[in-house]
Parts: sequence; C-alpha cells; structure tokens
Amino acid sequence: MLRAVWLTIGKEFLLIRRDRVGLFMLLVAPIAVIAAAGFSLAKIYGGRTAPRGEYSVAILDEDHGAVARAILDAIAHRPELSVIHCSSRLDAQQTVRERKLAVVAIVIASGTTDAIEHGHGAQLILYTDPVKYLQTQQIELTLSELCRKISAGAAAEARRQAAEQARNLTRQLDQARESAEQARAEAARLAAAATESRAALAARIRAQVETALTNARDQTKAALDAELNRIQRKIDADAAAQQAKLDELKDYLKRLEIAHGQFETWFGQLKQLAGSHAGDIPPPPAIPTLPADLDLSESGIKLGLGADLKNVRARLESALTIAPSDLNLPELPAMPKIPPVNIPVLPRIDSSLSIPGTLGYVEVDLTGRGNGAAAGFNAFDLQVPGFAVTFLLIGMLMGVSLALINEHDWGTLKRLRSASAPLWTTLIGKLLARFVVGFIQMVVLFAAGYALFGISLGRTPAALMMPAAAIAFAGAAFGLIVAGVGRTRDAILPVGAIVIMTMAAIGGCWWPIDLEPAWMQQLALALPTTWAMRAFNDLMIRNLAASSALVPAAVNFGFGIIYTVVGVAIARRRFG
Amino acid sequence: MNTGPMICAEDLRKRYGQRVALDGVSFTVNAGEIVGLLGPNRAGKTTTLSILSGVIAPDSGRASIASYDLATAPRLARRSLGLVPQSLALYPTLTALENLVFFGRMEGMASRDALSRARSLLEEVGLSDRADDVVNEFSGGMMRRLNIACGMIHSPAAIMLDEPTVGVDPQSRGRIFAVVEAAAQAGGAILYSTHYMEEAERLCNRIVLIDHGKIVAQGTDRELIALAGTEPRIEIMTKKALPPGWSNGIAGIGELPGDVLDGLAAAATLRTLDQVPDVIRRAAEVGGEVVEFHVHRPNLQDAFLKLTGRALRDTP
Repeated sequence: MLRAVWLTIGKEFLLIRRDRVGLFMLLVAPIAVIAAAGFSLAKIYGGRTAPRGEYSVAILDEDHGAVARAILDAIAHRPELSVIHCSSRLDAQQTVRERKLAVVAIVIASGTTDAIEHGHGAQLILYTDPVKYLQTQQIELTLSELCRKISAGAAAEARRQAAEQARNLTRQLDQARESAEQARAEAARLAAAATESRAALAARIRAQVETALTNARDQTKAALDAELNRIQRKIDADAAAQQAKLDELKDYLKRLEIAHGQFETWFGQLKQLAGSHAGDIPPPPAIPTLPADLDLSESGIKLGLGADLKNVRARLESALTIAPSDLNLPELPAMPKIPPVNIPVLPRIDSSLSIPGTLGYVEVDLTGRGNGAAAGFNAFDLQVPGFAVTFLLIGMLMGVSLALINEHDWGTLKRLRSASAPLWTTLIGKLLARFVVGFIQMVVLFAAGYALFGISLGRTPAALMMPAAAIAFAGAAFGLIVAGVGRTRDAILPVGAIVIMTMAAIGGCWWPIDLEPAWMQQLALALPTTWAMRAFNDLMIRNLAASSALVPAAVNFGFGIIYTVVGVAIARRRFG
Repeated sequence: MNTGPMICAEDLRKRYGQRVALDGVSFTVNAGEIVGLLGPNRAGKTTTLSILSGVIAPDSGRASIASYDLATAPRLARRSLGLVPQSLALYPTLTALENLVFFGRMEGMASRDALSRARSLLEEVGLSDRADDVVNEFSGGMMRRLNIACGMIHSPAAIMLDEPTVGVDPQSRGRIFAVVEAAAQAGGAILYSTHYMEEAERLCNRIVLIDHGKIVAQGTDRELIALAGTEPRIEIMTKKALPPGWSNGIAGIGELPGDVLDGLAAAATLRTLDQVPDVIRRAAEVGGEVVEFHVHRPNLQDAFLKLTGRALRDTP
C-alpha cells in the first residue's frame, strides 16, 4: 500500500516536472502578478518599495518670502516628492490637468509670508485632479503636516523671541527692583535724619518760643498790671462820683414813689367821697417826670472810661506785640543729600512681536464639478472603464488567439491555408470580427455602467467611442501576437492571463496609474491599456473636451496597426 | 484546356531539422486518375500532400496543380485544388451546410452556387438529412464524409485526400469510396494517401510506394506485386519452435524471418502451391507439431515488405 502511495507521489512529481505550463502558472505567473501589483500599489502603503520622487508637485511661488522658502525647503527634504516649478497659475493648472505631470499644484500666493508674520491666517491654493484622489490625499497629509510645522515653527520663533524679551525684561526689572530697594533704603535713612533734624529744630524753636512767650507774658503782665492798676484807680474814682449821683437819684425816686402812692390813696378817697359825682372829678395832675438829663439805665450811665480803655487796649497790644527781631529762630539744618539712584531704562516691548498666523490650504478642483480631489469621485467612473477594458482584453486576446488555436486544432486553418484566399485575409477577418464584438462589448458595458452605477459619460458621451474602438482594435490585434507566441491552448491560457493582468494592472485599469512608481508609469506608456484609461479618465472624470481623447485613441490605433503587422507576421510563421 | 498532369511533384525535398522528411519525391496524377500514396506512418505522405496543397513550402523541388506552379502562382494552383486533410477540418459548432457554404465561399464561389453545390454534396455523402445539424453532434464517420465534401465543394481539378478513412465505420468507408470514384469519373485528379493496402488496391489506378521520404516504387498494383516477386508464402504455427534449416531438403523453399508469436511461428516462400503438403509434413517431422498454417498469395504488403524490408504498419 505504502509503496503504491510512494510510487504515485513519484509519478505525480514527474508529471508536474514535465508540465512546463503548469509550473509556469505555479511559479512565474503569480510572481509576475505579485510584482505588478506590489510595485503598482507601493505608494499607497509607503514603505521601502516606494522609491524617491514618486509624487511630482507643481509649485508656483508668488510669495517669494520666508514661508515660500520654508515650503520649498521642506518639500525638497521629502524624498517622495519632486518639484516642478511653474510660471503662472495657468501653467500650474495645465501641469496638473492637461499635461498630468504633477499630482497637485501648490500656489503660494503673494503676501503669504506677510500675513503669517502679522498674525493673520494664510492659505495655499491647491489645484487637484480627482483621478489622483489617493495621491492627493497623501500629499494633502504631507501638506497639512508641512503647514502645521510652518505654523508651529513661526509660533515657536515668536515664543522664542517673546521669551527672550521676557528674560530681558525680567533682568531689567530685577535691576530696577534693586535700584528701588537702594532708593528706599536711602529714603528711609534720609527720613530718619530728617526726623531727627526736625525734632532738634522743634526743640530749639519751642525753647525760643517759650522764651519769647515768657518774656512777652512777663512784659504784658507788667504792662497790664500797671494799666489795670491805673484803670482801677480811675474806675474807683469815677464809681464813687457816680455812686453819689445814684444815691441822690434813688432818693428822689423813693420820694417820688411815696408821693405817687399818697396821691393814689388820696385820689381813691376822693372818688369815694364824690360818690355819684366821682365822674365829675377832674383828673389829677400829672406826676412829675424825671429830668431829661437823668438816664438811670446802665448804658445811660456814662462812667467816662471809653478813652481810657482804648488807650489801655492800645497799650496792651503794644505790650503783647513781640518784635520779630526778637524771635531768634534757629536756622533749619541742611537737607541730607539724596544719593543718586540708578534707575535702569525699562525695556520697550517690541511692537513687531506678535503671535504669528496659521498656514492652511484651500483645494481647487480643476474639473469645475466638485470641491477638489478630497471630495472624490464616483468610483465606478474608474472601475467601469477599467474592468471593461480588462474584460475586453480577455475577450480580444483570448478570443483571437484561442480562435486561431481552435482553427488549428479543428484543422480548418489547414484547409483555409490550402484555399485560394491568402492566410492574412483569414487573420484580418478574424481580427476585425473580434474588434466589432469588442467595441459592442464596450458600448454595452458603458451603457450598463451609466444605467446601473450612474457613471459620468463626460461632456460628449459619443467621444467615449474613440478610445473604446481604439482599445478594442489594439486588443484584438495583440491577440494575433499571443496566438503566434503561445503555440498551444495550454500555453495561451497562462500567457494570455499574465499579459492581460499585467497590462490591466500596470495600465491603470484596476487603480489610478498615478499610484504606480515613475518607472512603471514610463513602462506603462508602452501599453494600450494606459492610453485607453487616460482617455476614459480625461473624458469621464476630468471632464475634458472630446479632443483630449484624440491622442490616446490615435496611439492605440497605432499600437493596433503595429500589433497587426507583427501578429500577422508571427501567425504566418506559426500557422503559414 | 489543360492536358498535362493535374498534380505534379518534381524532386521534392524537405527536412525538419536533422530529419529528412522528403528526399527527391517525384510523381504525377492525371485527370480522372486515382493515385494512391501508400506508405507506413511517417513515410512522408502527409508532408508530400502538405507541399502539394501549398500548406508548406518544399526545401527544393517543384510542385504544381493544374500546371500552376505553387511557388509562382499559388492562388491559381490552390483554386484548382481540394484538400481533405487527415485530421478533420470542420467547424464543430456550425451546421454541415454552413461548413460547406463557408468553405465554398472561401474558394471564391458565389453564395447561390455554394449553397446548391453544398446540398448536392450532402446528398452524395449521405448527409442531406443532417444538413442543418451542428457538426459536433455527428458521428466520426459522418464527420469524415462531411470533411471530404468540404474538400470538394468548389469542384477542384485536383483532390488530395490524406488518409480519409481513418477510424471510419464500413458504411462510411463505402460512401467515401463512392464519392472519390465519382470525383475521378468527373475528371478529377485524385491523390489518395493511405496506409491501408486494401484501399489502395481497391480504389487506385496507380500506386506510389513511399518510405523514409523516398519513392520506393510506383505503378499499378499488379506491377508493384510483380516487381516484388510472385512467390506464394506459407505461415506455420507450431507447438514447438522449428529449428533453423528445418525446410532443408525441399527444393525451392526459402525460410523467412516472418512474424514470431512466442517463438512458435515460421514462414517460408514456396515455388508452387503444390509444395504445401511437403512443408507441413516436414515441419511435423522436425518436431514442430503444427497447430495451423496459412497460405498467402502475394499482394502490395508483400511488395512493400520486399522493397523496404518492413511492413506497412511497422513503425520506424
């Protein structure tokens, strides 16, 4: 049993070793596809397979300032970016859209540096191509990082300058504080000295004043005593004279009062006596009045002292007046000399120092349909033509080549070769039939894409027929070459599969060709898929005019003619 | 009107690498004549037909069809030629009628003529009731018949058939023979390649024996048999092997190497058929213990064996 198993294993290995096509499919085919996919998608994942300068960035420097230099310098240090300098905004737009030399164009507008330095925001203008969505995203990430770094750098510089100024200010304030402390100590010392001087001066003044006052009081007291004594004596004399007169007056009044009382009594008796004739009694005689010159009020009592008192006052004033010359005030002590206080010059804050503005960017979509590459596009605009071309190639390459192999296997090719019509008529007829089928296939797939997935048919839908016809022709013609190279059905299937997958992958049918490294994009120019996808992308996504498809379509027709010539030659050698 | 040979091969030579496929092959086929190209596998029959049909070019020599040199007037030569390749040459997903009409149109026939001729041929090969069936539904014999009809659709002056009866049932073989004979009777020059001796003997006016790329002999079947000798042959099967020289003593007996079956068969040529009893008796006497024996008249197989030293169905 085991021996049979071992024998079977050995036989299988022998069969596998002799199955070159199988080995090819096992080893070479996957390696080819892996290489195509790996190199094509290397940019997406970064990594070491992404070579230098993979993304070209067009730059228009209208600013010519520090920010522009910083951007250019930063981009120059990014290995994945290469720079194309543009002369104008139109040049920048065409570099991205028409010439497709750059993923994006960055316009550093005039005044950007000035705006940033003065604390205003500034925005770079980014011309983008929606087909290069993923690359644009990556570059925008890079640009965001760049803007952030530039903004952060400017802020850091401003902080550094502010910190420097703060340090200078602190140092000078410390110096000022030190000087102020010195001044305060000196002032305290001066105040103490002044207090001391003032106390001494006050004591001297108080002593002098007290002395003067004592002298004045003594002199005044003496003068007052003398004068008062004299006045007392005079007053005593006058009072005695006046008292005598008052006594005389009092006596007179006393007598008058008695007379008045007596009169009243008498008059009353009179009336009683008069009874009913009291009314006929004449009024009593008037009571005598005081003599006119007699004024018993105090004010009316003239003592005769007015002039004397005036004199007394005058003399008192004279006595109490201290002659200024008599007040021998001490001279004030000299003020202590204020020492020089070293007050530093306080620094001025730099008016130019301000918080810098931030740098950003605004994206401008060159198709005029969206808000830029960041807005993306209908994925089917890429997938429908891409996979339509892929399946077209399957139909064309496999169709033409397998049809020829079938003719060979069925023996009909031999019969046709013996017929009067030359072989090339058979080949061309087969090619043209497949071309028509392929063209119809493309039309149907695009119509289905429009109906089911809403793909864009561009400004002129009919223009899509140009690249569709061209790639159908080129694909069918390439089938002749594959048929001639792959000598059997077993050979054609792997060869055809590899050719189709490679052409589709590298040509941008499955992902945007701009994801691929530059060398692969150059290589892709030799593939009809590249030109077909360029035309479809221009018409459907970039929304360019129908004329944009002329060159790619012409190139593919050229490929088709070359393939036809080469394919017929190979097929004639192979089958002729 | 062309009165010369319809098919003419002159000193055709062809090499595939080191292997010599044809080495100076020359023969002609006249109008109304059926010439058999007889030889074992890889004798050079298919290469000869391929050169004569313009499918491949000879290294040297000249080939012409209806006097049109295939090298200088290939289109005219091919227009006069109908090829029935050894392998089937049909579109399996087309109907029988569609196949015929297509090949007729490719030979320059008008659509109406092609259709008319196609129906006529389908009648001849017994497929008129299957005219509108796709070919991949046909049996092998039906396909062979249709294959021949396709080669004759444009009524060519010269028809080449490359082993047209391989794998064909007797009924289809009979139909094929009838079609070929009718074409010859209609004036066609027929070159019929086969390794079936019986077919050559039955159909062909002349036979070209070819081996290792060389013409070994050509002529009528009788001429070829005569060329190879007319002695009858006896094959004896015995229980015990006959020793060498077992026939010594019988006048005119020549021992042949013959086929060997477990070492118990022997063959010998006879002068006359009257020697058969003596030979049987002699074999028994030497201890052979005869089981059976066959007496064989000379034919093309014998002629080929005589001329080349190997049988028609031998492989090199």
